[in-house]
Amino acid sequence: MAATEWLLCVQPGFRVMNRRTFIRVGAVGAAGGLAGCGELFAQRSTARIPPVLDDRPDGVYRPTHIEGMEMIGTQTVGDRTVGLFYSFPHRFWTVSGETNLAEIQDAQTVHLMAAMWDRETDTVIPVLRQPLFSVSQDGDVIDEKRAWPMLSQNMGFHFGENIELDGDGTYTVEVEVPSVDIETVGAFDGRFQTTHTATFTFEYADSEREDISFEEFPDTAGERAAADPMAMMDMPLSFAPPREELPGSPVTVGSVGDAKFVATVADGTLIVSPRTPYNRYAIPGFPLSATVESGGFDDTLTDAIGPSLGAHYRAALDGEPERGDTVTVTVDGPNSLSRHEGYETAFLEGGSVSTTL
Amino acid sequence: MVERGISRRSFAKAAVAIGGASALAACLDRSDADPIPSGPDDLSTLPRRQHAWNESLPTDEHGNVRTPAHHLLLYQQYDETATTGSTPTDEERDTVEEAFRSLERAYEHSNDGLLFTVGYSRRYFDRYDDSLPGSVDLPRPEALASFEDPEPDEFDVVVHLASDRADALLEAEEALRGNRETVNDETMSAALADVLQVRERRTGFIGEGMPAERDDVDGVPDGAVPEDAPLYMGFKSGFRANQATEERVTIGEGPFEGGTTQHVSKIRLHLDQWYEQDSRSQRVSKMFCPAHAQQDRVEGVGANLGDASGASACPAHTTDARENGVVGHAQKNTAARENGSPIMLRRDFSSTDDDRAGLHFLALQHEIGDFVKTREAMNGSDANDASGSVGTRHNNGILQYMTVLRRGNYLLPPRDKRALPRPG
Repeated sequence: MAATEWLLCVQPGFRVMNRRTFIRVGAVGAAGGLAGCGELFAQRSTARIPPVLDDRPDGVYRPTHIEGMEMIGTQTVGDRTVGLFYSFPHRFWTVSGETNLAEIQDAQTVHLMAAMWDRETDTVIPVLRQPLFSVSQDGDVIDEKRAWPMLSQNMGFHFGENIELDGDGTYTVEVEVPSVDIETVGAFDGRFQTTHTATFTFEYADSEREDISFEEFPDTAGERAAADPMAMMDMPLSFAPPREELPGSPVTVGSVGDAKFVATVADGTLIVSPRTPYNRYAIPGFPLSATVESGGFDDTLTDAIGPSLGAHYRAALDGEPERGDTVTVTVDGPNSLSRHEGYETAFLEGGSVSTTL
Repeated sequence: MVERGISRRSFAKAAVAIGGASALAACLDRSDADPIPSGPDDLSTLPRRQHAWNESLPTDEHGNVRTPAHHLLLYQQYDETATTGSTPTDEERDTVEEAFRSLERAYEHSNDGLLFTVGYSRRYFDRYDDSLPGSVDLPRPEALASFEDPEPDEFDVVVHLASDRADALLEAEEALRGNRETVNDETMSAALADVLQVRERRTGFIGEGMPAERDDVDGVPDGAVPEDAPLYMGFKSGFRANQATEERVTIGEGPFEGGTTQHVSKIRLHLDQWYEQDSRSQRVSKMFCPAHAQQDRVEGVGANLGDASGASACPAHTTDARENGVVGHAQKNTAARENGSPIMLRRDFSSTDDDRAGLHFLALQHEIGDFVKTREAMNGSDANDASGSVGTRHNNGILQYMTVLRRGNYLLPPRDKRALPRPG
């Protein structure tokens, strides 16, 4: 039986016309040639992005630049509010065991970002569960991806992805708002159990995108510091609570991979709250375990979210620990969040830190 | 599409996806095509199990069976307008059986000729007063994960046709639809169209180079799929050691002894991220396991792995979930074995249906419960529970890159009961 018989209906290496291009040209008729202009603009605005620094610290650092963003709108669906934003396409880093720089692709037009928060407490819901972004024009889906759970210095936790638009026009973005499947505590307890879809329609113009702010830090890029959190009235940011606002008698356990770990015991539960240096964002996406000496606790911690604790990790203890007890927090592997510049070399190390309660 | 000026050659590449008389004509209109081998006069020489394909398929140097290149799923309804009480007559059974026999006489039972199976859904059997015997596990299709929302396929009948020859596949389809009186010089003594109404066709392909040739659809970046990859995701699958035997998936008792069950899901792929934002090493971690990536165990599309994915040499996936923050697809799959052996036989294939990169995941198993068990392992919820760095889909095998659109379950009766069977 000949292995290449299927070639009968296949012409190797032969491409007359891209099926996708064909459909789009068909849809816009004579205006098809304009699509190329959009790509030129995209290239122009990404051309000014400074190169990644050669010598980056193994920790949080001030990035080469920060881009502003434009709000597309907010929608409340069920018990959650979704804010949708766009900016220039971004380079960012994905982390799956190891880190990879996701370069901007030529055809990508915008970085699309969704923030999701509880409509009642106005606090961010920072989970790894990825929403599907589905972008359509005139009823045809033109780009569809599951957005990455990400951390950026100016926006904190959000879901983001670079998207390919077809130049100026009206677009519809459907943002999936998935049910939450990790432990929820406090006012979040038992909520966010239904999946919704938030639908946004917006007018996009390359010229408006070019008006978005673009700030470079030529003198301070690479310093052990961070760009400031943005102040956007309509959107809460994913801050961890200040240490003193945690219940019980909270202590700073130490830092691993430049993430700072705060721990406390309240109502028989060990609570560990990791946060970024400088900006104090809560950090989901860690594999954590802990020991508490006197109670003999030695186990993994469960990832959880709450309105005041944000993303944190917890475990029920058998007994109330004593004052002076040693608590050890161990980072078992790399944090899996995707990172915007300035965070990509942090939160990757494993290791343990201890202190006394 | 052809009317819009795409060349005949480009059109022929998509012939199976497009279907119909013009697609067939584009395939047949070639002087250099080899003749298609015909089937036997004595049909009793054919295997009793409809799913007994492996003996008729070529193998590679490692003993991995190579499934045919082109695939077609024809979904059909029986008497859709009828209310309850309408069940097939013996005359209709004869018509259906004659249509299949005509195809068997026309084409060799092989990848060079034509292979096919016919399956029946729970919906089909529910028109009878009698229930299916306990030896057949055929639930209605449903969502198999908390994070998916597929449309259940509720067609009565699905015919799965496969061949390396697109012309054979298209000709057989036209004949089943009643649009051709002869196939490969054999007279069609009946057509399915006299009894069944085609409601949907789904198509696909598998084989070295075919996905790269068909990367001009949404959901996969142009030029990104390796030239020698058999599937869109860029790696080999269906390793001999990771496939159940045909014997293992066969129903061993009762009136459908010699049959099997089939699950078919329609899956949309989102591979821009896979190829543009994951590194090669991250892809190997997610498809196989982190150790395969760290130790460079996979060359190219993975042909060097031989006859096994090698995932049994990976650490436990819950360990990797904690220590590497990512778990592999093949690694999770090792949990879905019984006494060390796989319980599912994959015959899946890539697809350009809807002009989107997709996958028709077709799997055979002794009972649908075996598929459900395997699917549960692939959901990776234990990896998600074990580690705060592995999400429902994020870093959880390849779940991020797939959306399950539809699921369907079917009984493939033994060949002698393949024509509109009664439940008992």
